[in-house]
Amino acid sequence: MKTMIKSGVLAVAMLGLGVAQAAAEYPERQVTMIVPFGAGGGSDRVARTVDRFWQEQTGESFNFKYQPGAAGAVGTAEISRAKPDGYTVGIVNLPNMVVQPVAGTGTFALDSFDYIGRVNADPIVLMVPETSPYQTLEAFLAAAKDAPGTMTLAITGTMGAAHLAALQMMDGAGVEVTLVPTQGGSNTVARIAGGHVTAGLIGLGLFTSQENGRALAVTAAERSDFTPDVPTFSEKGIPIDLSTARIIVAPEGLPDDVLTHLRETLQSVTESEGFVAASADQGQGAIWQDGAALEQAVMAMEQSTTELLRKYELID
Amino acid sequence: MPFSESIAAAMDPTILLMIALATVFGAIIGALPGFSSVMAISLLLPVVYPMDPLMGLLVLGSIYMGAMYGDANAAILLNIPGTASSLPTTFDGFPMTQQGRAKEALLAALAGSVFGGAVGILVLLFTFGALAEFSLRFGPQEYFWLTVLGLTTIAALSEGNMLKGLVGGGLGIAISLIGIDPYWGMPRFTFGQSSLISGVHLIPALLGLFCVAQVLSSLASDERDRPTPEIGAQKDALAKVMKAMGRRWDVLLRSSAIGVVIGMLPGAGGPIASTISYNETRRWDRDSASFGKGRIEGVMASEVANNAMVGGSLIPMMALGIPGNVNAAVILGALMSFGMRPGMNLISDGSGVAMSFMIGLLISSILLAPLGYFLIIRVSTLVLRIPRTYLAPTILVFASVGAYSVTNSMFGVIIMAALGIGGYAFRRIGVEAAPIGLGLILGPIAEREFTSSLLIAQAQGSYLTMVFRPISLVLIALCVLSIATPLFLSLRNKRAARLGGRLSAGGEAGK
Repeated sequence: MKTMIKSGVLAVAMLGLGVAQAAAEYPERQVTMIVPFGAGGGSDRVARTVDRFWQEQTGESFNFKYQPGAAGAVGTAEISRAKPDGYTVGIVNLPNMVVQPVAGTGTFALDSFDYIGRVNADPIVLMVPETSPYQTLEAFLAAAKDAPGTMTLAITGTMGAAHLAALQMMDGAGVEVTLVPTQGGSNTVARIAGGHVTAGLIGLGLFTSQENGRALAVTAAERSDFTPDVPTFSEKGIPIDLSTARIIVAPEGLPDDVLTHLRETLQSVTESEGFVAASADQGQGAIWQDGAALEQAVMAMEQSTTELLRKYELID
Repeated sequence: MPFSESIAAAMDPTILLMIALATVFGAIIGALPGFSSVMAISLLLPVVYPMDPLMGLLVLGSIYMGAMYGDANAAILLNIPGTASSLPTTFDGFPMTQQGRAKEALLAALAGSVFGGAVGILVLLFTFGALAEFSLRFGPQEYFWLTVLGLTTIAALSEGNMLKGLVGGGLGIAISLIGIDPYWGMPRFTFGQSSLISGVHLIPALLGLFCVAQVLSSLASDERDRPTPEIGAQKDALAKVMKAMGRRWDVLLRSSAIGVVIGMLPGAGGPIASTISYNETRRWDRDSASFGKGRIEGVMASEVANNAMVGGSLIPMMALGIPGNVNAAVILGALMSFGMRPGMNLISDGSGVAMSFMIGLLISSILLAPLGYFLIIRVSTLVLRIPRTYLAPTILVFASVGAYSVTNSMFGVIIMAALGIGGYAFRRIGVEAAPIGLGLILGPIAEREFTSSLLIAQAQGSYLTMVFRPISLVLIALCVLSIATPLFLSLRNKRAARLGGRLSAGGEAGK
């Protein structure tokens, strides 16, 4: 017991020392970035793009640690458990990070993070095949209203961005369509393009990378620069503002100056010309959102997602 | 740019050198269990971005091509499928090694990979686009029947004891159910363990079933009975392989066609291509009972198909922007960041890069022949020179590293150990690893596509769409044939045995 107290005191003292030093010259060693997916996945590509321009600006690079498992939940939980000294951050994606604790597949709480910022956002489009009779969102929704449940909508995976967008669309427009989950984005596009489903929801980046159908609407708050002709759901009276976003977080309780430093650096990285161009190459909009605003958005999303999933009886 | 200039661009000495290096690198990655070509090409993306587009694309494409060949080496020599697509390569490849015919098997895999790879790229080159539209006609119903067709291989693999084969397949499917339900998105059969939420990872599971179980059974067997995997002199190996290649055009062409078509389907993938190809080759063979006991055609069928898949997976990627698998998806990403857009005008955009890319891949597939023959086969057979006493622990070390790298934690190693011990126990009672592996690989695809088909059928108000679609009907007919043939054969054998018994009994009586 005595030793425990001793080492506890020592740990606190060292922690204090760490804070003092951080205040002086953070970072004095390499920062680890946890990627909760495998090397080479989509998150990894974004993380490495951040790293590239972070290096350009500060001369410092990240040490990457891959912690795949449970669709990112394992690595995300590990970020929340790391020491909040500024030497561990992680890249996670929305809305998965919010859905996981809500649905019970994630063992972390959303308030156990310090939010540094959002580095990109990829909204979702409603895509129909070239041969589809529906030219507008109104026509599509009217047909769905006339025959509830007979139209099929392909979504990539369950409990992901596309699924939430589908539920929000059904909820907002008061329609009922049959959701058909598929595995992987290109599988979804093939299902839509081949006319095996009436329509599908896919990421805007994926939509603009091929030419196999039309987009009827996009889930962002404003029209995307990539597809200026595609209206938003909100314009058509169905308020949806949902994007797959990659955000950088740290365990809760960073020293204030460290958090400020990370937020400011990440902002100038995300807004740099090179990063914006590199993101556009990957079909992603580099849309910066500051940590404080991001945290609010995440908490609001937790609330609305819980209500939505309850309404459709997907969770208790 | 005229065709000749595209060829010239791909034949540039620097480009040729890069193709050769990337192909070898891919082959090595493919041979190491736990390391996938997807990982390799994704990690190389930042390296290829500053390159000239053609060179960048060819580096990625050649790694992909090389990896699809390299996995055969571990499958043949050690009974370890380096990737799931080389699972069927183990069926005949490893028995050949045990019979001292490793060289023959390795050469057959090489020859098959070269042939399949080249045919796949030629189909891509000459039918560009036309076939892509065909791939879109495969809906969830067709995917489901295709997977069932793959699963019917179990019937063929377990001739003589269908029940044990079915138990194995069922067991594999049961294990694959662990994880997140594809429809509800909720965890099932995880027993409250958060580490099981993402399910039982395929590669550690295959490492356990094949390699750990193999090591255990070789340790448990009598010193004398222990199989001696030796390379053997086998001076006539090359001649035998060339003869088989020359005689079995049917195998080569059928397997290439299967590889290309299944490669084109996003989400179907290599394991289905090589499994169906193996099964079809076996079924159309006059002496199908000898498959699984060291038939060179079995190795060829699997390897031709999984290399033909390379070209196949690029067809919808280049023509429609819909990649046939994850490798093709990463290459699509690179293509786009070089400012090229997939589509029918990729060929006619004037830069000629797309054309040179396809020619470069053809070169990569052909270069595999000398690279494999003079380098990779020689290096990989060194494995067999390791004394047997050291080989078992060495294999376990490599397998553990591979299993660890998949999850980046001990969890992968635990999965491997659990399935290894379980797999060994089941092997003792006659349930082999192959049907378990097939269930594990194909079960999730079958479930997902069946769910999709069912949802669509429900929405349309008719369950007839599950069956009555042109391509589905063809696939169902093949499934029926696939199940009926082994049944028919075993009945015939039994009758022949009965007749034979009666005849010899009569002979004895007459004495």
